[in-house]
Amino acid sequence: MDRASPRQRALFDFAVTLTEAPWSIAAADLDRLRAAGLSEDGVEHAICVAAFFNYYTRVADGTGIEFDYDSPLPRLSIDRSRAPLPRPPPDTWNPAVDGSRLAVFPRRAFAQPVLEQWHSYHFDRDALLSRHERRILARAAATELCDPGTVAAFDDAIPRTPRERALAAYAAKLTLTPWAVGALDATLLRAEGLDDPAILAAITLVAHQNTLSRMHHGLAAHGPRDDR
Amino acid sequence: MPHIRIVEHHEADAPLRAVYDAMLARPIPDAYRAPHGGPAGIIRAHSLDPELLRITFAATGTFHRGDALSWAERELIAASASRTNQCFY
Repeated sequence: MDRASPRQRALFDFAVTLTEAPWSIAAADLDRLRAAGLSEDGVEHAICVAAFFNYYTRVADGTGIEFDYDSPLPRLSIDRSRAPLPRPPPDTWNPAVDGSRLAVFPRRAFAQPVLEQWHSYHFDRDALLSRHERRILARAAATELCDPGTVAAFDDAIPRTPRERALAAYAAKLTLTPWAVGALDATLLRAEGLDDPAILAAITLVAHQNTLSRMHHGLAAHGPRDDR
Repeated sequence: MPHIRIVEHHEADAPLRAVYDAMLARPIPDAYRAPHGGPAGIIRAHSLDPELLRITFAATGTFHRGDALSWAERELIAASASRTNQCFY
């Protein structure tokens, strides 16, 4: 990024922060995008792109599909033992962040109906995983995403059985260290009675929550930037 | 090897085949087309639930829309997020 323009640098830093430390996104980060020339449309679009790619990477890691694009980037060497960033304590979380509700992008109204459908598909059904299990997955992910609204909204979704604990553990792992998720993690879910369609439902719901919570962190950014 | 069953294009039943073909027919940049010509891995990852596949890419595919960021800038954000997650996607 040495030869990047200030605008490119700002986009890069924003994407990295929203990905690895979404709880730390502050008004100053959005102001930096604006100072680099982004319009409000651009800010919302940037939040969406970064948030959606946090979906795609987790589905790729969770399902274990191979990468099949030509990439001009140098071959990435993955450190599966890389630790996630430490999370700040709950009393520091932004109370305006509530990923249990769909984020609203004022300048991207065209996307709202399909986002609603997507959200509803994950939460408003009992096929494959019960509604309760879906909330367990979401709450476990949201806990690692410093999303107080979701944690509170799903406060009934505390894991109590071995299967529920396995679901919560999987959600936390796919959220925290998606690069470390492997075949063994799918095997652990199978041992609790999930078949492949149910495992896919779990993977995609957790990935979906990772998108939603990040959207809220981006839109609700306020106050001075916390030390990371 | 994938961790769950992936249903390939050639073995897809009618509902899945329809969604796969609709995905392939999208007007998207060439960089998002897999070199093998079939649905990309991230699409096939969803093969066990064609309706999930359709709804997911309708929603997430909205990232292609918007004039405020150039295509290169969207790519920069995407690649930066993916690299941070240590993922090729």
